[in-house]
Amino acid sequence: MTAAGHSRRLAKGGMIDRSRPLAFAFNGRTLSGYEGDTLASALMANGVDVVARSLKYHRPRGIMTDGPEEPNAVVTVGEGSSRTPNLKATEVILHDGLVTRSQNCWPSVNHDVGAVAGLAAPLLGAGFYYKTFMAPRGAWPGLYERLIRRAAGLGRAPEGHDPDLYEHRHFHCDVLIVGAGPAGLAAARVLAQAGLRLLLCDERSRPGGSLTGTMQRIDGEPASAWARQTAADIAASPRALVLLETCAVWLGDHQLVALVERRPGESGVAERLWLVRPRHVVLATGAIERPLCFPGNDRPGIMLASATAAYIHRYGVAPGKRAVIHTNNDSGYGALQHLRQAEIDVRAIIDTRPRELIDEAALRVVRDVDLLPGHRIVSTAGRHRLSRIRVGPADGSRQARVIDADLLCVAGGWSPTRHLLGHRGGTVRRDESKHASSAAAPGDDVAITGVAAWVTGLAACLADGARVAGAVLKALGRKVPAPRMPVPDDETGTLSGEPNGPSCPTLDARQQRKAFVDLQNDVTAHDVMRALDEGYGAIEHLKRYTTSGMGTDQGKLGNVMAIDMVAEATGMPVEKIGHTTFRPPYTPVTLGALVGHARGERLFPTRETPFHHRHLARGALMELAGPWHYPKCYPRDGESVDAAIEREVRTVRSAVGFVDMSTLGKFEVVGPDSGIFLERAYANRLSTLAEGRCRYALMLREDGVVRDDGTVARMAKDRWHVTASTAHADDVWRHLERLRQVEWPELDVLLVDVGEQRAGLAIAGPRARDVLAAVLPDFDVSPEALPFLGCREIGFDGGRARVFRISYSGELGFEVYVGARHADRLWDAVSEAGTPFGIAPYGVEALDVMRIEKGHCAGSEFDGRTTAAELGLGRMIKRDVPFLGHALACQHSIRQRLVGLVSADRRTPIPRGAILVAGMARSRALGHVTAAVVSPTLGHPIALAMLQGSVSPGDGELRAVSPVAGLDVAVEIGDLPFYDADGARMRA
Amino acid sequence: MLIISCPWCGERDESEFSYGGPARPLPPLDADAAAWRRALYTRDNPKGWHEELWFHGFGCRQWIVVSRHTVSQEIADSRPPETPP
Amino acid sequence: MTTLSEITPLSVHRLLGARRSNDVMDEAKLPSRVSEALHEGSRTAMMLGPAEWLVLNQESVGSLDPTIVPGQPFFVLDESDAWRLFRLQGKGAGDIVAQFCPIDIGAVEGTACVTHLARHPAIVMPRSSGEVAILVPRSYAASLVALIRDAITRSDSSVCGRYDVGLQDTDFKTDPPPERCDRIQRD
Repeated sequence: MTAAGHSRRLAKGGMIDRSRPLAFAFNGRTLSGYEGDTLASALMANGVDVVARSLKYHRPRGIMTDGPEEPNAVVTVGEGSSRTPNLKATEVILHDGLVTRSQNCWPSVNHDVGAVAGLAAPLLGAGFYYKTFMAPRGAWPGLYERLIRRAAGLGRAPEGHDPDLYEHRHFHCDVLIVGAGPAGLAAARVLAQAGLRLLLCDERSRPGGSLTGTMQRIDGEPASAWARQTAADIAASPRALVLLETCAVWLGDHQLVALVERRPGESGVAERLWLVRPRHVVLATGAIERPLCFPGNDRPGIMLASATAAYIHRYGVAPGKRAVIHTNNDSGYGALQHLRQAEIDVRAIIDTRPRELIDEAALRVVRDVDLLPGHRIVSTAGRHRLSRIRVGPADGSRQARVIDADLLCVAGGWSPTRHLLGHRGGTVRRDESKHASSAAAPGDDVAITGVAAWVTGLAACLADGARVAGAVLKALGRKVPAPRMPVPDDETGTLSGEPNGPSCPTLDARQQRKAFVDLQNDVTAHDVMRALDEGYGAIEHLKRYTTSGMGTDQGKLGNVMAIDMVAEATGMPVEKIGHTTFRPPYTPVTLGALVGHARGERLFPTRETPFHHRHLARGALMELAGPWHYPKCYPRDGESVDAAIEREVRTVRSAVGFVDMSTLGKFEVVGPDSGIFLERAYANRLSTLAEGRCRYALMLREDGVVRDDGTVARMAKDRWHVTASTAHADDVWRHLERLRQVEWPELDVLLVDVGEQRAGLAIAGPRARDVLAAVLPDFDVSPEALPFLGCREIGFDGGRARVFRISYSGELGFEVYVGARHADRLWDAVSEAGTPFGIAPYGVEALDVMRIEKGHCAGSEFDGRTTAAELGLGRMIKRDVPFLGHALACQHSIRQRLVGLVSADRRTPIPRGAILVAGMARSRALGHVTAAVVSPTLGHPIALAMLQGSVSPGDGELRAVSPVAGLDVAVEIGDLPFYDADGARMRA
Repeated sequence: MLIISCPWCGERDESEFSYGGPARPLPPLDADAAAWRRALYTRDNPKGWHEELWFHGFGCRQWIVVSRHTVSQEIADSRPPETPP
Repeated sequence: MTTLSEITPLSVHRLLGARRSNDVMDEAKLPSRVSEALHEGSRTAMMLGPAEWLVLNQESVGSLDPTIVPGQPFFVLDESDAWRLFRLQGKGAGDIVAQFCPIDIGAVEGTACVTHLARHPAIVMPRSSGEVAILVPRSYAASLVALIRDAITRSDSSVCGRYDVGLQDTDFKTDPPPERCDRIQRD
């Protein structure tokens, strides 16, 4: 009864579109499937038994489930930079041209050399790596590391840039319903009819959940058709949104729920991460069937009973020909009707329970199938596919017998899917009173419905969904309607999924080695017992020691078996053992989905100064300095970067240059108490600053360490202009506002952030005054009118401008600030006025060279660990008036000091970030290099460094060592500043 | 990602704010070093309600005092700094 | 089709006031609640924070510093150079903003929310017509425009209840029922 070409495809049936065949490749073979198949169902239809090899022992593995709980069938999809490893074949929707491969096997999945690892199994048990690879130590880099890297892991990561696009979407709604199964659809139906803003999501590509795998009928039609129609009706409501193939992966604080929507449409967006803020959350997440633990429980052909039904109904695939059902609860008997429909020969039902515990309803469906109550599976056989099983009574009273079977349907009971609740620390296990769970966390509005809340039976689930919807409407103050309930067909045959038999029978040591608890990580019952023996009995310890639950399936099948095994072995009740912490995400999420749009050039917001286009027009080499696009240098006529920087420095020191200063933080401080405010906030004496004068100013942190340096200018009695360094501008604003709003609200002062609307250029060099005079012809720029550290307000281009006479480069310098709309005009005027003097723009590198030559501190010295005294700025600190940071600044002992370094041979560059050591002993680190350049002005390499303590003659020579760069340079301590020690040039 | 209720702007996403530590006044500027060390380095770390400062940087640029439960992340109250709770 | 365009020329003034100035606010036609926006012809006034307003207009006035306007307890600061104003129009405007902004755009129509778009500071003004006006500081404008242009190119920005009904049903007993539902597409 199979379709041509597919050895296991049924002639009819399945929710696939047989008019749309698809071709795909698996391990180089071209196979075919239909629209609506998953990769797993298509492989199964094509008779592929072995899909993957297990992690440690390289055992052949097939498909076990139909969902994200799949532990075995983990494959690589795609090629090249689109390659995605470690995807579960059950979650990959088949499309035309799909290219897939097995992982962790060589040369092929059917013949894998790695299978020899199975022979070494006794040595590779839990925690083996804590006891092996110890000696010889020398073997580590050459041998052990190489071996381990080759053997470890499953798939191989792709190389190159991810060509796919990803997006985020914030979404607000009244209700989020997770899961479009019977309870979810019932709830969503009521809420959509009430006109609420709702989002219904389901991880599968069609709605219905369990309804797509059942033969029941609702309102006279097949349940899956009812589901489809109901979902369509909900989607048609104006304020409802239905998302399929969308998995809810995280329930976060204040009910922020993250959903991953896969393949959202034809736009080329591969995945979309929805960040949903619902007022209410309804979890209708269903349940996952449990497997059973017995020797040889991992062979291809051993599947969950519900999965066999799913493959028959959803995909029209018969998973095998001769089936045996192995169960410890009544719901396992439900598989019989599906197997009969597909005309699969059912050889036996093996129930671990004694006959008395089996429900009458279950016994009724058995009919002529061989029922073996109180039996268990002793072993299984079959290399690439299950071929037979040995079954014996649990009490060992009779001989084991052999049953020929190629399909084993395992039914271990059901675990409600409550992981999202666990993300908020809510109850996941059932409590003694067997109520549906309380809210996830105080303040949360999360309700659970359906099987996830231990409600069994289709009618009961539909009713429970409607009930929860009613509760939500009531909470929102809406009228609760009395909807017409959908009526499922006769349910007298509902079989309970309550497991009342053991899932892990007692096994002897040899059997334990072959009985798998976590199939993906090859964790056996033996490993669990060994962990208990070695004292790792607490469930979190057990997980980490055995790695059970740490695979890509996140223990969805294995964790319950491990807990049951611990309960069995220790006699502790399951509630006391607890469970490992449920952490997001519920299933693996690609990094792309988490990142969204923020990659490459869009990684973070970038900013442009008002001179941005002038920089580009001038041929600047731009770089990112923090968020700012800023010129590194302006290379001319093909000169190298180093040559350009050197030329710019020479131009400034010998003639004149100009640089963009717009990135500095700029604030106006106004009000009657503005002087007091600044006096308290800064370390310098400011009350004595006259109008029209400015000053370098240090701001300390509360602990006395330097926060930032900048300038303070007094424009008028109660009006000040403050600058902060580019890197700390936001921090300084936040800090000053905190002082104003929180600490000193009694002061009458206002702070205004004027950073965005001002553009600034610094003109520096011996000819700077000439240039300024030409730019501002109506303004007296003589040394008398504008002395060093003076500031004036003037007019330019029809607007107001400010000029400050300060210098960062150490040359005669002026900073001119205008409104951003005048920026181009200012640049052009300066450029033009300076042409007779050979003016050139300079960038951040030249700026850095010159400030190092002058020994000026910048961000690399203000690294959050240095005090003013250590930086040689102690004279700026006022002693008599209290200010922020004063108390602890005075208390700091001086552990290091700022020094200048020159290389001993005056030739070798000093490496940046190098550690200072003394002599050949190198056992004591004496400090580090904060900034280093080759100085064109002095003609040799120089550096600034923080030196701890002092170097005594007996220490040997001082060396700057960078093990990372492999550099080692002898250095000498030089005087700071390196250039123009008395500052005559800037005071000219 | 918390929702913080700014007294000026209403309920906003945590990404609009930056955290400012516990809401305790700084010692007077002329207090001695010991008092400053106590204020900076000796902190309660309550498993429960915590008064703390947040700055609404991507919003009204005001500092607010928030009462947050450090275990459940519940936020009970948020107010401008001058007002008592 | 979603489009992004810039609105120029633009004049922007920030008013920083004394703490209690309710009567003056009425006279100056300024909103009294943060995020509230008052529109009058080409003038829009919005309240950004306690005692802080932004007034947008189409004519430009030049002044560099906070100065006290006689008769009013305000400092008036010309911020025309500090902002750029954009208009995002079309079917996908709200969805594009929702990619970058955590605010519920649909719930704040007619207001001016000071917030961020993917960490670009921005004032977002959704209008009832579906278009969204975005005021962004000058230095961040290019980066934000690039982000929005990427999103426009990327979309499929109309939200789909992605829902395929072309698949056959399983029913071994009777023939499959006829199709009853159309392909669902949200507009």
